[in-house]
Amino acid sequence: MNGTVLQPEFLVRIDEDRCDQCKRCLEYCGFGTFSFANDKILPNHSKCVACHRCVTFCPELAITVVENPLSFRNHANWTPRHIRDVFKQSETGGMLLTGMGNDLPYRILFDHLVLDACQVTNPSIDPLREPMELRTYLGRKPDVLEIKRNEQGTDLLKTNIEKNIKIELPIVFAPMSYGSISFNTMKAICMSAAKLNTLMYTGEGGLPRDLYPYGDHIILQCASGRFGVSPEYLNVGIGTQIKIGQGAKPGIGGHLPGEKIPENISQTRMIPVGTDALSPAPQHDIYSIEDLRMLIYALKEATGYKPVCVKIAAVHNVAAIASGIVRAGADLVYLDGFRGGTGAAPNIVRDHVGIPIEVAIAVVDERLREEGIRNKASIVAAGSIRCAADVCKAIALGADACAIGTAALIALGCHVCQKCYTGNCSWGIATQKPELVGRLDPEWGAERICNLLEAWATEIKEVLGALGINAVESLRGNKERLRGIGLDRTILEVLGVKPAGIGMGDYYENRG
Amino acid sequence: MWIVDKGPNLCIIVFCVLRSQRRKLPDYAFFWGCQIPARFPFLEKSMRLALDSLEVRYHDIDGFTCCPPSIAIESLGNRIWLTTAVRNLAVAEKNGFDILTGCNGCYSTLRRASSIMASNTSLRKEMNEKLARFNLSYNGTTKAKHIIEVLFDEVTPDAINRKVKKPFSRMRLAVHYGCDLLRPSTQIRFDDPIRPTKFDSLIEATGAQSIDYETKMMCCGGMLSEMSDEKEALLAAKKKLAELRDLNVDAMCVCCPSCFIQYDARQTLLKASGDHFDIPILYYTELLCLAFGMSPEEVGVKKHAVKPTRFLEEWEAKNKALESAAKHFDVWFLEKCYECKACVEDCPSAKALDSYDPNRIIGEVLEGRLDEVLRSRDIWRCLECHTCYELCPHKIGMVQIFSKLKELAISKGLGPRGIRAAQDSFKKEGALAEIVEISRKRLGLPPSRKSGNKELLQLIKELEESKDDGPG
Repeated sequence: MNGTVLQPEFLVRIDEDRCDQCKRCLEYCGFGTFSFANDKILPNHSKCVACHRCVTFCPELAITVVENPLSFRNHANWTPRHIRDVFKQSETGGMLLTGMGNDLPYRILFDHLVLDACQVTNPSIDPLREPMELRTYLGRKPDVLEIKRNEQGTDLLKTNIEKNIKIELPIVFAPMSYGSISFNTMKAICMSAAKLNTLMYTGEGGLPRDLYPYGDHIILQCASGRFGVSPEYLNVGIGTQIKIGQGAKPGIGGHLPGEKIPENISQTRMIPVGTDALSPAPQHDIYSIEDLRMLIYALKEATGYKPVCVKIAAVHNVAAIASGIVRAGADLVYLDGFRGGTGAAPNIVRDHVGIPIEVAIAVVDERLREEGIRNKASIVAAGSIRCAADVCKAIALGADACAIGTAALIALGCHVCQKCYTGNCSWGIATQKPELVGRLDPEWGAERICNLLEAWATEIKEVLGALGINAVESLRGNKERLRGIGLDRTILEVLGVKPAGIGMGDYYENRG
Repeated sequence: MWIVDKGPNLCIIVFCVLRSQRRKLPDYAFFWGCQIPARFPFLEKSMRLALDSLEVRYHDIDGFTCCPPSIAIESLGNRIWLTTAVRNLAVAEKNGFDILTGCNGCYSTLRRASSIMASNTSLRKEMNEKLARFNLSYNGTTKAKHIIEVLFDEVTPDAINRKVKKPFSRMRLAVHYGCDLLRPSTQIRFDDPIRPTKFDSLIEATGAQSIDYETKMMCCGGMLSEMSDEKEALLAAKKKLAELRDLNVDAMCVCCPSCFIQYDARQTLLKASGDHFDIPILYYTELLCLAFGMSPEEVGVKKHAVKPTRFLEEWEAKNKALESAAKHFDVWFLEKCYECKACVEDCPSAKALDSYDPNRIIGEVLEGRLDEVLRSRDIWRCLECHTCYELCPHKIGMVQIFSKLKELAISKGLGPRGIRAAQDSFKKEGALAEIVEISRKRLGLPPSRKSGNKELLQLIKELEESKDDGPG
C-alpha cells in the first residue's frame, strides 16, 4: 500500500533570504499547504492548488508558485493530463470532480469572429460626444401595438404590455447557488446588481433573508431540488427562473456536500445542517413541454405575472428546445454554454458534454425568428463570457444580454484554481468556513465588480460607435456585422456568419 | 463515489459520499486473541465501549484459537502457522462475518494468511481439504480488519470527531503504529508502510495533536525479551521513551497489546533501574472513550502500570479552562489567534512596552486564567489601533479579544479609574466633555446646538436595564 505515484502539480518556492517566518502563509492557505518546523516554512507541494492567496499576501513577497517542470516523455495522445487522471482514479476509484468551467483547448469561436467598423460612408459615432444606449428590456414584447383614441381625443395604448425587466447594461449576473458561494460573495453580487441597475440570479439554494432588500434586482431560481423555495421567496424579486440545466454539467443535478452546509445555509435552503444537498438531474414535475408550461404559469400565478425565465444548458437540440420553452410561455430563455462555470461537477461532464454558447445563441435566435416568435422572449447567453468583446459578439449573434459568473468571481480575487468543490477557497468566495468567508469584504468586492462592468460598458459603447450604431438594440442579431476567420464553411453556415473578405453586398454562394 | 484530488480533502469527499449513500457497516466477529482477554481485560472493555458508542456491530463467536503470531510460531513450520490462521478465517466465514481485531499480531497473521490464500489456489485447495473434516472451508469472502482500520476507513475520523464531548485539545500525543499494522504492505494493505497517516488522523479526531517525532516508525522491540533477553527489550523501549520525554509529550497512543506491554509495563521496570519517563500509554479506544465523555474508572485506564493521573488532571484542567473561555469567546478563534502571532510584532503597545505581550494574555485566557487576566492592567494596553486587524489573515485581529476582555472587566467592576470615570460621566450626562459657551463666543463661533442627550440617556437606561448589549 505505497502512497501515491502522483507528483505535485505545482511547486511552492520560498525565498529563504526574504522570508521572516511571520507564518501568515500557514493561516492564509485554505488547503493546509504550509507547516512550520525548525525555523523554516515547509510547503507540502502536493497540497498547493495555485490559488495565490499566500503569494498575494506575503508581506515580504517571498513566495512564488511554479508549475512543476517535471517532464513526462512527450506523447501527443497520452498527455500528462490523461496520465495524471489515470493515477488519481486508480488510487481512489472515484469520479474526478472539478470546479469552474471547461479548460480543454476546444476552439473558442468568439476568438474566430471579428466585428465590423464604419469607414467613409455611414460614419462612425463618437461615444464620448453622442449618447449611447445600453439599456435593455428583458421579457415578452407584443406582436403589434394597438392604439385607441378616447372621447377626449387622447391616444391610449390598447395592447396589454407584459412586464419587462429594465437593465441599464446588457450584462447580468449568472445564477450561483447560496452554498456553493459564500454569503459575502452573494452580497457583493447583489450590491453590484443594485448599483449598476442590472440584475442577478439566485441559484439552487434560495436567498438569505438579509439580501431580500436587493429584491428589485434579483431573479429567484426554482431548481430541481426546490431548496429554499417558498411563496415569499418567489415574490421577493422581479421575476423567477426555472433551472432545467447548467452549461457546465448538462443532464446532471447538483451536489452540495454537507461540509458546505452550516447553520446559515441550512436555514436558507431549509435542510438540516451537514446533510448533502442533492438536486435531482431532472425536475421531477417536468417531463414534457406541457409540464413546463404548467410550472411557468404556476410561477406566474404565484408572483403576479412577473417574467419567468427558463435556463437550459446548450445541447445538440437546443434550437427546438428553446422554441418549445418560448411556446410554453417563458419570457426569457437563458442559454448556458459548455464552457460555463460550476461549483462542482464531474470532470467528464464538464469537459465533454454540451455545445459552445456561440453556436447555441445563433441557432436559437435563427429558429425563433424563422418561427416568428423571437419577440416573445429575450435570450440571455452565458457560459464563459470573458470580456466586453465576447459580450458584443454574443449580442451580434442574437442574444439580448449576457450573464457573467466566473468573471465576477475573478473580480473578487478568484484565481480559477478550480477547487470550488472542496469548500476550502482561500479567497472566501466558494466556501462556507467562517474564517475564510470573513476574508471577503462585500463592499470591496462590489466596488471591484462595478469597476469591471463599468469598464466593459465603456468598451461596448466604443464598439457600438465604431459600428455606427447608437443602441445595443441595433446590434442584437446583427450577424452582418460579424465575420469569421479560420472557421470552416459548415460552422459559418450554422452561425449564419460570412467569412472575412466577403462584403455586405457580395454574393456568397452558400447563402442563397 | 465522488472524490478527487489527492490532498487534504480526500477523506472529506469520500466521507460525504459514504454518508450520502448511507453505506451500512458490515457485521464483525471480534477476534480477541490471547493477550487482550488474558492480560488486559480493561483494553477489551474500552474496545467494546468505543465500538458500541460508534454503532459498530460486532459479535462474540465460538471456535477461534490463537491466531498464531508468526514471530513465535512460523519457525515451528510454515504449514502449522498457516493452517491455524486459515482455520480462524474459516470459522468467521462460516458465521458470515468479517473479523475485527485489536491486536497488530493477530491482524498481521490473519491478513497475511488470507492474502496467501487469495494468490495460491493449489495451497487453498490443500488447506480446504484438511478443513473439510471439520465442516470448514475458507474461500476468501471473510476479511480480517484492525479496529484502527475500521475506525478510519468505515467509521471515518469525521464521524468520530462529531461524537467527541471532551476533546483532548492542546494535548500533544505521540502515535505508535507498530510494525504489524503496516508491514509487509503488499499483504497488509492498510496505509503507507513508511509514512502512514491514518492513525494520526484518528488521534487528531479527538482534538489532540499527533506530533511528528524521529523514532515514530521504530518497532517497539518488545519481542526481544522472548527472542534474546529482557535487557535488550528494555533498551529498545528506552530509545523511543527517551525521545518522547525530551519532546515533552503528554501521552503515547498505541493500538496493540504487545506494544502496550513494552511501553507500559517495561516503563515501570525502567523506573526501577532509575530511568524516569512517566509517559502514560493509552490504547486508542481508551482515548476515544474518554473523549466521548466516559469516566476514567469506567474505561479502566487506572489499571495501567504507568498511572495516567497527571495526564487526566491536565486534560480535565484544559477542558475546564476551555469551557470557561468558551463562555465568552469562540475558542477555535482564540486558539488560532494564539498560534498565529502574525501581528504581535507590529502591535504598537508591544513595541513600546517590553512588559506587554498580548499573545501571552490570549494564552492565559485559554489556560482558564480569565479572572486573573481581567484584573491585570495589561488588557488596557490594547489601544484599539486595529493594526492587528489589518495584519490578521482572518481579518479579526487580537483587538476583538481585547475589546471583549475590557467589557468583561468593566462588567465586573474592574478597569482603570480614568475609563470608569469617563463611563460614569457618559451614563450621567450622555457626553464625555462639557462645552464652555463663553470661549466659543470669544472666538466668534456660533452657540452650540441643542444636543440629543435626553433621548440618549433614556436609551442607555433601557439598555442597562435589559442588559442587552447586542451580540457578545
